Amino acid sequence: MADVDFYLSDEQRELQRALREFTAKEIAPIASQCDAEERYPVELFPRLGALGYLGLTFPEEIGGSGGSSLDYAIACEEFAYGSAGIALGIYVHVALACSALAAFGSEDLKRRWLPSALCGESIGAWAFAEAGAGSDASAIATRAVADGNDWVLNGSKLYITNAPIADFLVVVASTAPEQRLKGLSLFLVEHDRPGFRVAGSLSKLGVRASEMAELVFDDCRIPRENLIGRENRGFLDALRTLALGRIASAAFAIGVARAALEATLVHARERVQFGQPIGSLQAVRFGIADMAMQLEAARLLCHRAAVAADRGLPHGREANMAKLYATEACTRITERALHYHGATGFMSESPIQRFYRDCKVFEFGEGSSELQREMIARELGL
Amino acid sequence: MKVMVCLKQVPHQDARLDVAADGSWIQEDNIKFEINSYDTYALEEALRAKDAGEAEVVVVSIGPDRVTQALRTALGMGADRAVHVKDPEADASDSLGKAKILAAIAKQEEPDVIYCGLMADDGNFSAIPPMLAELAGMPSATGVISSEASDTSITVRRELEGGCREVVELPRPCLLAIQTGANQVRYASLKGIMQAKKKPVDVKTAADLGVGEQVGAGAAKVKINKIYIPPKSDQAELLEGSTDEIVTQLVGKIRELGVL
Ligand SMILES: Cc1cc2nc3c(=O)[nH]c(=O)nc-3n(C[C@H](O)[C@H](O)[C@H](O)COP(=O)(O)OP(=O)(O)OC[C@H]3O[C@@H](n4cnc5c(N)ncnc54)[C@H](O)[C@@H]3O)c2cc1C
Repeated sequence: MADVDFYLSDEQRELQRALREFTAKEIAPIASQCDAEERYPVELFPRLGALGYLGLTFPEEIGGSGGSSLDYAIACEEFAYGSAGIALGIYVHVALACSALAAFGSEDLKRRWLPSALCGESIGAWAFAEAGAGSDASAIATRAVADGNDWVLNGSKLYITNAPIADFLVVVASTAPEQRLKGLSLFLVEHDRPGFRVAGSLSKLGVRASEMAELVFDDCRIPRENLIGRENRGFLDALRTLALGRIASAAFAIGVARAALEATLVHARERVQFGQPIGSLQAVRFGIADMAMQLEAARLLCHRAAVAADRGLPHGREANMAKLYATEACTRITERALHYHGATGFMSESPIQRFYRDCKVFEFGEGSSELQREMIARELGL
Repeated sequence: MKVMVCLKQVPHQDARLDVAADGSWIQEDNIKFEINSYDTYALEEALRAKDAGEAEVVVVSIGPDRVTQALRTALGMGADRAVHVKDPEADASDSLGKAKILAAIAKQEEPDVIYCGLMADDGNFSAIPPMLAELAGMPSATGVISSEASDTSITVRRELEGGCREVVELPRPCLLAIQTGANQVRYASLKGIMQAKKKPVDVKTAADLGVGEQVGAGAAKVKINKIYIPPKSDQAELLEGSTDEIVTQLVGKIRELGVL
């Protein structure tokens, strides 16, 4: 069926087409294997960089393409359609590490890292979470203390995507513990700094193509210039740019849900039981109709938030709703997809079980559903 | 050097095809289209010629409004400009009529090389490339898997039966019909996509090209009578029963045929 995508420009349609082609040929075919081996296909980075896709949302002056939030939502959907894990690795690099650097980094840091990062020749990670700090950023215990011309970092980070493959990491550390949230700063740490190490890799249920590890800072010295943005305010400043993160999370969920729906449509036509394709059975037809409706509702919410952001309109609530609805819808859609596939979908070689495993993380990452509901309620004046 | 690439937009390989109610063609509403796969290889071969030296790449397509998208894709991949023959009469032409239109464009453009796909994924005629070469008075080679241009000629490798290869040299100007898998087709870069908007697309009719009289449904010598999905053959025998019973029957049949 043709998409009813009347609000997309010709360039956006073309971007979508090109990314679909890239994903179909370069990402989808390796998705299951990377998932099984828990291996990130790092060779994709320079290829995506050369095509300009890593620089999509960055200003042209620093080697980006000046793309819009809607362009970005389109790209996230397509990458996640191929592999949520691979999409996550790109996302952490582009939307967290490079974005923070581009928005708040000194000219010198930007000159040193951004050109190679946007070409995909160096890979970034975003190190925020810790054993004691997940949803609650104010509990961050990693410390950075000024000492002469250096900062000295001590502490550890947990669940850090891209850590095993990263060349540089943007690390959130406390520079004024008594000020809690208002004492958090951002630092750039090169992967080969003495005192820094990537501890054991972590194995996970979903998005397994992305690689994750724990970080340890043991009197790790970095030069003063490696501070990104304002001392004590760096993290709060960065948070303000995270609406794009919610739009991206929604788009990832939409990509996975679309892959699940498309596979289910094929299966429902082909699988014959009781002498007819299961897609002729009303119970199944109705279920699939609901999947399609939820997918499209999610995409509309996501694109609305993106368009609002692009027009400079307030879009916080829109982004919250898009993230909340899309990620929960994706969990429902992939659950139904697995259900209608039955045993075939449950087998390890089937992508259906991967979709089912991959989507859950989007519900609690980038602000859990509860936080989204809380923010929406607050916006509603409650 | 100037190269011309002829490309056709065909139903997307994933599109569900239904025969139109009047049986004249497939139902085109609500399906997606893409560039004919053979033509993407032809375009890539042309873009490689451009990468290797100075070449202007002009893409040409005959078809309705939707074809703009295929041309935009080609421009995004690196072609320099496009000619879109948008004319219902041109669409209604047979292969020879379309070859005449393309020949009229070739006459205006005077390309050093014309790249075509070997055949169209939908029509499967493989007719236009040799017809166009003949009408344009150019030598041609089909089944081309690689090409290398010198100042006056082009040396190509062709794919023959049984994995054999043939090397042929053609003087320029000439026409090459490219085989799929000849090269690795590039992806449009983001920069390419953004620049495509500024590249010119010339829209023409058959009459503009001076061949209005020679083309169209009236002039067509080959007419499609109907499109249909062949009825299921009754030569297939369905084995029934439990898996064990089916296997026993199947082994019996194979023995009967004496292939075991
Ligand atoms: C695949 C994956 C990749 C990740 N990659 C990175 C990375 O690259 N960098 C990084 O820094 N971190 C990363 N993380 C960690 C991520 O930042 C955290 O998962 C996230 O911050 C949530 O924290 P938590 O998982 O500790 O959950 P918790 O904060 O412990 O929350 C658990 C649950 O408690 C409930 N809850 C918590 N707070 C509230 C509240 N205020 N109101 C109501 N309910 C609440 C919610 O139900 C929530 O889902 C990753 C995690 C995963 C799973």
